[in-house]
Amino acid sequence: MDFTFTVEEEAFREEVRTWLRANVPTEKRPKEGQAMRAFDTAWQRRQHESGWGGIAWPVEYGGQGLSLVQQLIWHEEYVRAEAPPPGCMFVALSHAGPTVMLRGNAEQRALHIPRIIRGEAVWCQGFSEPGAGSDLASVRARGVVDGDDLVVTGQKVWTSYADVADYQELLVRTDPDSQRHAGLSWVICDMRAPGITVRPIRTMAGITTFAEVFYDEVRIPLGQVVGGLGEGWSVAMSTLSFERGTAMIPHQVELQRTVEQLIALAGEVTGPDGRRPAAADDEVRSRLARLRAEVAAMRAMTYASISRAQREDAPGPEGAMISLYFGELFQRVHDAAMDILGGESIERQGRAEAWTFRYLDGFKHTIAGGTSEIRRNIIGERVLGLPRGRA
Amino acid sequence: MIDLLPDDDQKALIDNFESVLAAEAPLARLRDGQGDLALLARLAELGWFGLGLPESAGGVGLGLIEEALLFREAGRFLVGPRLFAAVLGAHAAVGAGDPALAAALAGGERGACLLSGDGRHAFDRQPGDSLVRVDEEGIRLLDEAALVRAEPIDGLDPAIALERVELDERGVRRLADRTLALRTKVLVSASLVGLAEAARDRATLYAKERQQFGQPIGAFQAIKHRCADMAVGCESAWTLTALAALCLGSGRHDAAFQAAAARIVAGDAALAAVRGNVQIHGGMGFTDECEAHLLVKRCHFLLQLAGGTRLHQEALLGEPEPVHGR
Repeated sequence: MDFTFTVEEEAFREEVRTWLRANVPTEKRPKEGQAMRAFDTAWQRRQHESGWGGIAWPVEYGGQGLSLVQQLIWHEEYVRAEAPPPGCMFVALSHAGPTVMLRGNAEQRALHIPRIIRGEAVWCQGFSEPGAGSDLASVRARGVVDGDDLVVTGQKVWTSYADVADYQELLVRTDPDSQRHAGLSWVICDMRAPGITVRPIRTMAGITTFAEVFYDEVRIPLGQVVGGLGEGWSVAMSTLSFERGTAMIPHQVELQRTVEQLIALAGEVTGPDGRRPAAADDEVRSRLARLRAEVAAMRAMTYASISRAQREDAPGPEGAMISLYFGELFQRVHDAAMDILGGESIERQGRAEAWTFRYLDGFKHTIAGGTSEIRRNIIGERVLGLPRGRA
Repeated sequence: MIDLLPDDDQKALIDNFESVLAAEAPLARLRDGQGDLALLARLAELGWFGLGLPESAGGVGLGLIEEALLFREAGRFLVGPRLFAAVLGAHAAVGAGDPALAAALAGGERGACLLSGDGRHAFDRQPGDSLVRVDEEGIRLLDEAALVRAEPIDGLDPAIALERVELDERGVRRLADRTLALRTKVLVSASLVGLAEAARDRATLYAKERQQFGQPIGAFQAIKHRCADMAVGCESAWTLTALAALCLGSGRHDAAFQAAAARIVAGDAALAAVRGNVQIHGGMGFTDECEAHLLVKRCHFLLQLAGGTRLHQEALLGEPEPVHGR
């Protein structure tokens, strides 16, 4: 067991820090729409042009092919430099791109990979449906082969950035007689194809970064099927093997900063006795200390998952533990923030703005990408070996 | 290099601890009120007390992380607090420039018992013991002569002989060595993790075996999710404890931060797990016959061993945010 950084790694950290300091955009990131797209893609372009685009991507695809520890260092410095999130570039960089690399054919790779890394193409994900949420294998959107095309009809939901995306990784049922995981196909869908309607959904936080998408006989050339007809489930799962214990790093580093900001906030806001700052209150102190300790634990869990990824090729079910821990910890941090803000917690401007926004937006962290309940099932069944319940 | 998983040598060490304790430390032993004396004599013989002591003091010369691995297994099997006294006392003797005393403590030739951080209680004391007292600032190694009064009292943990004591610490040299206070925190954390893991494993095993409504109760989400929470608690507590051990072992700037954080997280995880274990065992869990209550009682003991959680919370708030990197 070891926790040290080599001289080379420290030099790398310095290099990253220097570049970020000089290049992180200073203007505020728009939260939605075309302005957000322009911002996010410009930032990706700038990173790519300076040799920092796609840190986890292999060099042959224009990425940096960084080691896991270098990726960790990058993310730590990235958050420290207050660099903006990948935003609408996220699906392309972390899901669609890697999947096309792993399972796409030469033509698909040549068309899509360079445009992603250069920040020219924005992708979204079309997996969930009104009837296929936690139970993703019950996808019903259907794709019917007609000549050289797949004709898609159905509906997807919770599609982040659908309104600004060029392409979608779309999971459809191409064998009408199939059940569950069989008979699905993973298709590259052009979001400008006729028959697609995007209806933005406003979240409880008041922003519209996700949407429902309707498909009315949308014609997608068969050449856009990745990995072959009927292979959709395995293609979707292959994305996961690209994720090597690093996915939670940015969240962890960001949350560490948030807790430190919360401690600072508690020193400024008047506490429950109406006289002293909140940070003088015993219960507030106890909560702040616990949150600080728990963020440290999340950091240690991140290091443990990197340690596992260095030894094993396929990520294990332990990943569900850190995702679960993060989602609930994020919410505890912001529950505490609301209490510390006290009377100001009903405001959505001034110093309360960022906290109340994240409090509301943070409800997604125990739902999106697998609810806490599903994650607990995975941990119970696949980590602890408890029996599955009777359906 | 970042590696929070044990290497082959460390795995062999863990296997060794586990197999010896599984054979020699069944929880049934805790009912005879012997304060684990026989077991600890055996562990001394095996050289376990001196695992992290320098070879010049008769130790094995391994690191704090290996010592933490030992205390994790010791926590799992509820090994008595004299293990803390012997190991910490030996480290204190090394710090005080008395390698002969260190060797005697590590070899078990000289006995040691632990006092609570506030100096009010002694645990499993035997005649002739050195007394070891650790608080936030450092560690004190006292002779028996410092004991003015000792009155046996009923304790929460039936397996630990508890005394209320009065001390006369005039002339006692206190080692203002903060790293020993931090070492104590890390080792208490490791014991809490072991205890939490024991609770997690017992609850999970029972949930797989116990049938109600025609299926194992572990198939019900209400039970499964509680076990899952124990698993997450154990993972968070162990990884942070290991990180703290590595930071302190290598003298990193954030060792005090990580040690306090580990103690907080491990304490919370252990308490939740031992309580959950009783609940999952249902009516059986409430009985004296079931061993679940022994874990609850040991947990409360460990939570007070180096000061309560609130103390560690204040210690943590007093530390600066760790910087990333070196």
